[in-house]
Amino acid sequence: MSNNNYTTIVKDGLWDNNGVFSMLLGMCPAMAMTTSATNGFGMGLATAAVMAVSSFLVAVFRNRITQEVRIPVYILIVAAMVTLVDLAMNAWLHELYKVLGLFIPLIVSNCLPLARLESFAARQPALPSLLDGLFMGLGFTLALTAIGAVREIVGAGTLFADASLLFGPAFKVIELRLVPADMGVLMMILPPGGFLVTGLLVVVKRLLDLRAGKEIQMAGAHSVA
Amino acid sequence: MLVRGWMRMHGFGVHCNTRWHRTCEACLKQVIHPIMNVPQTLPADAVAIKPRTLMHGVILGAFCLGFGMVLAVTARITAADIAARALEDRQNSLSQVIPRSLHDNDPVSDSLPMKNGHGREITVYRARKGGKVTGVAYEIFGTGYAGEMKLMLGLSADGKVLGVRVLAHKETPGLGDKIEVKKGDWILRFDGLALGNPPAERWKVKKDGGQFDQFAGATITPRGVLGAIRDGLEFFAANKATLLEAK
Repeated sequence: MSNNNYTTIVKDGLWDNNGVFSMLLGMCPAMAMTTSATNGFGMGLATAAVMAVSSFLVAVFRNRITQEVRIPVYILIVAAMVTLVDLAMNAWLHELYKVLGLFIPLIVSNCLPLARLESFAARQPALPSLLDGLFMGLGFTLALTAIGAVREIVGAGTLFADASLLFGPAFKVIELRLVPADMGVLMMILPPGGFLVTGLLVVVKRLLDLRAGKEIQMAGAHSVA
Repeated sequence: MLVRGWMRMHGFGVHCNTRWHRTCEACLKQVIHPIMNVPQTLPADAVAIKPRTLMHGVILGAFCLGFGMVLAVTARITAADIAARALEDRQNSLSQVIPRSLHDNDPVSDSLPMKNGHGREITVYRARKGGKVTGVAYEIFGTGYAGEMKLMLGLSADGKVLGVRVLAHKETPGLGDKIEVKKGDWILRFDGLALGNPPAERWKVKKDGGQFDQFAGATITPRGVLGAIRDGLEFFAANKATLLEAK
């Protein structure tokens, strides 16, 4: 597998090596922030932005960062980018910040950006690293939106509720009510639902991969020699 | 070549069995990275890094300094805008509980620090028309199912509720969060009521013998909100003179 192959980077990030469903990384936001599809989507996008920028920076400085201090430097870079995004959104995108503001500091504690910095950006040139960060982040967004959507439909009977608060009034049309109010299974919105849905979606992803005849890539499974 | 020579000097086994080196060719060929699942190959532009211990500190320090400066500059640039947004937020939450027609001043700047019935510091915002206090608004606190709920209560000068809004809560989504105005009109039913209307023993949820509906499956949340409003009204009654002082 050539890491410089852009198609591979995109496919890996979005599906084959998906941060949540294959690598099982970033479980904290994947379960805590996915009470609705909108929340998952917003959290995912913020993470993707931070991942793309920090991957780029680490790749640029990769020959200056020594082995011994690399982890503190990576955390420093991620934390600085998160703070930057937090300040800038608070000042200039205040409506969006009111919805997403709570989630943004959580990106620092997400191990997915750190894992990509360590395993990809630390040994690849800037452009592939930027792409890897971006598409790993978008794959994360996809996963969080999927988990959020399932939990929201089963738990509250809606889909993309409050999307207009996040993206503006034009998105009112994608706010759907699929099941009458008070018919939802509340547990799915509460923490147990996060574990259940995440687990089931990991199974679904594996089944789809099996059906497609792909080798299953999971963290810890030495499928590729 | 530097790496090779260094490795030969130290002995390959000793060197690479004890630790993994990012820029060492032998390590990169052998190690299958736990997350990537792929054998790592030596990047074309890898540079042999063999600095002394002091160097690590200098590198880390340099990054801290650099990013610290970036953050300091950003904080400086955004500070004024962030303060302006915070002020707008406060004005918005006040305008929901005190109608604009009631005042010609800016209640946010006409604030008065006080202690509420539980000894907690609160800020009272006063609405005035022609210098006369026409209404007050302050934060009230209730205990819900999942911790404290923060609300804003607006009262007219004669002690009637102008409006109540939830500012922050952690209640269960789908059950307790119907206290939010965007999820239901429950919170609007207090408008126009006052201490004594209904009488004190009816200022409760129906389950406790009062006159206000609880939600199906959630009694603790509305009970907490009612407690907070009752507290807020009693605070007004006890401090009426101070609150309405013309000054």
